[in-house]
Amino acid sequence: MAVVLLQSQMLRTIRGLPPDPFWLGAISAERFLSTINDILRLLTHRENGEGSILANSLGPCEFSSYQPLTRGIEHPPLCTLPARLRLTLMAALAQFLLGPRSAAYFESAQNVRASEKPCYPLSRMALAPDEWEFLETRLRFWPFYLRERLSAALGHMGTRRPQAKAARPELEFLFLST
Amino acid sequence: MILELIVPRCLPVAPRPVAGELLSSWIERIAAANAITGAELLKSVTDCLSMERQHALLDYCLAPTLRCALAIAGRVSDLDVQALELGNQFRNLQPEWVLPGAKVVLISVAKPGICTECIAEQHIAGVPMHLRAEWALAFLTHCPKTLSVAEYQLSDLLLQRIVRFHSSRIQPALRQVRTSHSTSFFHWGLQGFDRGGCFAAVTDATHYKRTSP
Repeated sequence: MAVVLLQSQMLRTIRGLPPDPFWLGAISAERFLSTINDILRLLTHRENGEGSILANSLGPCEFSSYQPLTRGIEHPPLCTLPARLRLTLMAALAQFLLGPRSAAYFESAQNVRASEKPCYPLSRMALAPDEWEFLETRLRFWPFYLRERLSAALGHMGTRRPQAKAARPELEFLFLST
Repeated sequence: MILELIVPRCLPVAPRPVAGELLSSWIERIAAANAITGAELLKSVTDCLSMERQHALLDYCLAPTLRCALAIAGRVSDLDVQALELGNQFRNLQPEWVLPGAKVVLISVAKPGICTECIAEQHIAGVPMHLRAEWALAFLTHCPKTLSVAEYQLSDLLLQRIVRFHSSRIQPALRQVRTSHSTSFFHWGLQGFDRGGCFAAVTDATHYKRTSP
């Protein structure tokens, strides 16, 4: 349901109408879309242009899908992704925007521990150093609501910033199969 | 190719665009109504204009010369064609959010998602069956109108059926003209204009109108 709601908001904003404050507070359509664009860029990131996109591991498990993508492309554009993967991406985007409120919309977010909630969904996994860097660089341009929530998350997670990113599930699978 | 020579600059049958329609859908409908494919129509237009095909964004934004040529072919104004461009229908839309099938020029059909419920509704309402502009948006995984996901999928087969439907309404008439006049499609088109008959035909789900001034 959250995915459909978010899609309808995006449709509204590309028509120039203001988005629902539920998502990112009371902001303009342009700012909403610019933030969405940044987050989509983060969520479509593939480390070294291999494996699946970040959304697959960061998004809700019930929407994850592993589909092969062309190697060597670090940020595959949204329009080049297969339909199923676009759904995964949109679900991950909805979860990213909802943060701790995700439990009401996604089944997989219901069993999150109370200590993990403030940083959710970033608390679920370690980001790669360049993903961290991207997040830190772009954060100051994002709306107050998101900035406040993620600053706290980054401050909390910065203390346990990873040296190397944990292998993503599909990579583990690839290693096992080879 | 012979076909390039026989596609007239101004097509004899010109279905009108529907508000909120995808540009490539309208192109396909015009082409089908004239018993050619969308690719053939675009190829003839772009070859005439000597345009660089690869750089044209078909649904998002047309080059002014291509827009003008299509407006002449479809016998509508430039503004009518411009209104169908996704960049105009959605003013904050970014080109990366348009599905590639709907973006690359010289393809026979765009490949956005298709909601069969919406198509059925169009059919019942007597509106020409067409692809809606929203279906070409990459971030939409559900039809925004019916919220259906099961039918909202890539369906070349369905699209071919729609195109065939539009073609089937014009082709019997075309065959009749061809046999009676023993002439080519191009000549048939010219004769139509020479007689002063304006074939503003609207091929839609229920009827096919032919009006003359």
